[in-house]
Amino acid sequence: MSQMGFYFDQTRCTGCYTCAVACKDWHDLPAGSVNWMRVQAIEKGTFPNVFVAYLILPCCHCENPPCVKVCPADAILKRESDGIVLVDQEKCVGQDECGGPCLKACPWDAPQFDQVDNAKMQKCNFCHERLENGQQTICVEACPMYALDAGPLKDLQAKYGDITEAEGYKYSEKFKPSLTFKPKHWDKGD
Amino acid sequence: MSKEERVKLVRTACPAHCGIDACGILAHVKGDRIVKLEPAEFPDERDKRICLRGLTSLDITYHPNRIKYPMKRVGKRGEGKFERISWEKAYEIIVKNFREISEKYGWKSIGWVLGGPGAGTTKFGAYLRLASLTQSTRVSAWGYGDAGLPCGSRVILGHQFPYIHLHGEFWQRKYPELLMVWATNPAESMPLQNMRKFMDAKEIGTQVIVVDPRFTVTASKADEYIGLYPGTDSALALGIMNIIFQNDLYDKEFILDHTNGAYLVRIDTGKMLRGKDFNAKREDAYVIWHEKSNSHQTVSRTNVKEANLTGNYTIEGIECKPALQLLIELASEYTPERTAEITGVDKDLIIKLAKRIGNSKKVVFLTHMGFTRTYHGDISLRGVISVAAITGNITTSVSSGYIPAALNWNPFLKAIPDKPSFHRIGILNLYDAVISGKPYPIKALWFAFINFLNQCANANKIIKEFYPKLDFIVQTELFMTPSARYADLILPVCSFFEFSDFMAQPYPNIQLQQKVIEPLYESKSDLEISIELSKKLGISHPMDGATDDDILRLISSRRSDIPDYDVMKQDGVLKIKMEAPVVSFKEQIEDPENNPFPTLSGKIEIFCEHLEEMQNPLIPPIPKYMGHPESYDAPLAAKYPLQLLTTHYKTRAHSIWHNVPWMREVDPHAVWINTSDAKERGVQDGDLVDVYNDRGRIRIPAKVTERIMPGVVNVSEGAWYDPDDQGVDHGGCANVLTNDDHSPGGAVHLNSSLVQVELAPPR
Repeated sequence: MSQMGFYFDQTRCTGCYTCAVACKDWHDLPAGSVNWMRVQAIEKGTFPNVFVAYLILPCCHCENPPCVKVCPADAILKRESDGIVLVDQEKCVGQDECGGPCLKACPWDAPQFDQVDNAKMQKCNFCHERLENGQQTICVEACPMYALDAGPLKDLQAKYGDITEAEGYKYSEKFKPSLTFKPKHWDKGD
Repeated sequence: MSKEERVKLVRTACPAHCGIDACGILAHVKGDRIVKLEPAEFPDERDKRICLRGLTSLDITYHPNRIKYPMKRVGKRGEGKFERISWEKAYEIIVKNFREISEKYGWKSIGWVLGGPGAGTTKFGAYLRLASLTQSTRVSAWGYGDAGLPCGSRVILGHQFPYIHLHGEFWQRKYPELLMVWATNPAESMPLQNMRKFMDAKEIGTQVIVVDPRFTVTASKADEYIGLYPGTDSALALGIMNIIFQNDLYDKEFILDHTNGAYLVRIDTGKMLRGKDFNAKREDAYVIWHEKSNSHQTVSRTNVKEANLTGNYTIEGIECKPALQLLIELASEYTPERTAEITGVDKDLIIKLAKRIGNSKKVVFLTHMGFTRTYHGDISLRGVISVAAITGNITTSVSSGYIPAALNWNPFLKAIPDKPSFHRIGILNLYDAVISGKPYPIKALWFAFINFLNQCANANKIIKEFYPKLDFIVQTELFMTPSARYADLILPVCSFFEFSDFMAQPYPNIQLQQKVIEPLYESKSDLEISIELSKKLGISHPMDGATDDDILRLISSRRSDIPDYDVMKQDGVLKIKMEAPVVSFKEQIEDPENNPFPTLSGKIEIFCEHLEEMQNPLIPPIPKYMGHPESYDAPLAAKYPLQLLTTHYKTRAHSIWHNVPWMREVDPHAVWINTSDAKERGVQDGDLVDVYNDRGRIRIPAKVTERIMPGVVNVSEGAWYDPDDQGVDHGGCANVLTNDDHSPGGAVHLNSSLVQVELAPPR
């Protein structure tokens, strides 16, 4: 198996939300609470000594995804072939029914529920249909700053290094999220 | 798989007026509907780009609230009551009104107000043609937001548009040692053409300094951030020059060769000393003090060698100083302490910054319209250009790769050869023309691709004093914008997927904004409207019946760089082949003998003679810092202590995309206020607040942040004006608060308004 993953260059990201919007456009997600790709702004300091960084949060397609284990309906599946974690909406019993243990188990809140009765879980599916057509994920394709890449995690680590943490992102040894970073840190000194 | 077969891919381009970005878009078409968008390929893969605006364009095209058919106003202006009419009826109303108004006041009382020219070739040309055929008035939006630029730069460099030229070789991906990003935020306003290059430059070692009152996204990527009070840029420039002069870091050779810094200026009159002042043979020649012979000499433009740049001289009893000496003396008043006091920048940081500029081999000053949209913005720009000039950074800074490739309006402008063309009024003077009939009355206006009420200064003045003076208002629009509500007639226009046009960007490409689908509803392109209207007006012209395609073919045929229109059409994009990169002012610097700068002296004007002649103390010949009626130390600040900025916003290109739900949910519209200012007013993050001054009041949530300087607030422009019964705008339109006056040098100061902020009354 070759685990798929993301690379995120926090030093280049400008928090423009193009990845998030491209994701919504490609996957036909209406405006509202469901965001397969999220962008978080991190702001620290006091003017004029300020630090700003952005963090993207898709699904991390963990090596040991906690969501898969807790799903009472076995609706979440980790693909053998590429490690992509997918949800089977037919099987999902809905949040009102099961209480959404997948969301509670995920440290990064990747599982998404629409604000409707008994919403079924949905989340980043790594654009697997695009991959099958030999295309990149839409977020990578759209990123204006070249701050994102996606592919087999081993290849990404070979190309960009294997830093597992970034500003605002904590690695989990237990779940092994499939992300590698070029982090941005606050260098307060001159 | 069958799904794939049914999808047709069409390459087009996004024409939104995002400065000079223009993303290639690959539209996925199923039947007669576009279903998805992707970034399109470019000849150079590094040009491939998209941003969140272009990506959500389908939400504009397929927006449920699009204006679907022509509509006639039935209620009061602004009330929003309209009834559907036919195109035939619409033309009838226009013709009737134009006839009556032109008979009474002449055709020139009818004006065409056109938005940004980034808006395309055919649709812009459509109205220029009509204006030309009827000899009515073209109201140019050039110079509205950017008036400070032509005024600031024309006098010093002889070129009006430094925001094109200050980018320098930067656009050719030749990155300097030091990049000074001064009052522009490309991360949000020009993400692709500039910000991507900014990041690339940084990665290969360019040091980046950002000067801005806000800690912008761009600032967050810089090596050094300089936060200053809005409108104090010229003081900072003078403070920097002072350190550079004191430490002998200025480029004397460059100043001698390419500027008028050595020319002597009379102390008694303040004018340039000329040969005729002391009966020299060469009457009009400028005069220098020759170092070696210790005597004065009349000089021609290119033989200024060995001249003194400093000192005090008496020539035939006339006391004089070299122009540079005057700049040095002015700069010496801007000690680090005084500059710090005016600008709010730490004094040690000013010294460090100046030395870094002075010691860098190559500096690019990347600037845009932020500070030129301040009071005295023209002077601020001259200050920055002066820093570039004394350090010899004009070629690197003031060079360009820009080619206004396809913005060729000649086929439209020469509508009737040998006959006078249209009349012109700058949008700056439109308020006066409408309200007080000066320089001549304007009685009817046609607004196309411009949301005038929302995007021009002082919205309440437009409503109360401007609109009532107009007999007839037409708006071509996609939506019921705040401006459209005040029209007498609204005509539905195509979104950019529904007609063809040329885009001259991104450098060095020409793209075809290709028609992807047929016009929706009863919408028409501006070109089609203008051609049909001219027929109804009884004006015949050989271009009657021309389609987008005919016009684009005609433009192509007159250009040597578009070898084959059909090939271009097929590819959708053409990389212009150039023998060498276009670098503006390259000739002036490399071969000054044959290439004067287009200024009075033929050189860069450190001391501007034209301005001296105007004898207006508010437009001094050397860029001097001055306060103004709405600066932070003006008497008005006692009542309205906060300086308002009205910057661009990532989710909008001006007011476009405001009504797209996806855009509204990412980073919602809010007023930025510093934590200390918020605390003083009992305001917490997310609270609904009123931002107000004597011109109006808006009510929006507060973003309490350390990313803006204390004493400064920001309401990004472009949110749609949405007043309640009391006239309080709940949409958060920044121009409810801005001043429609313009500064003496011409800058419209949309970034120089004083306001107060308070908690909104409980609902």
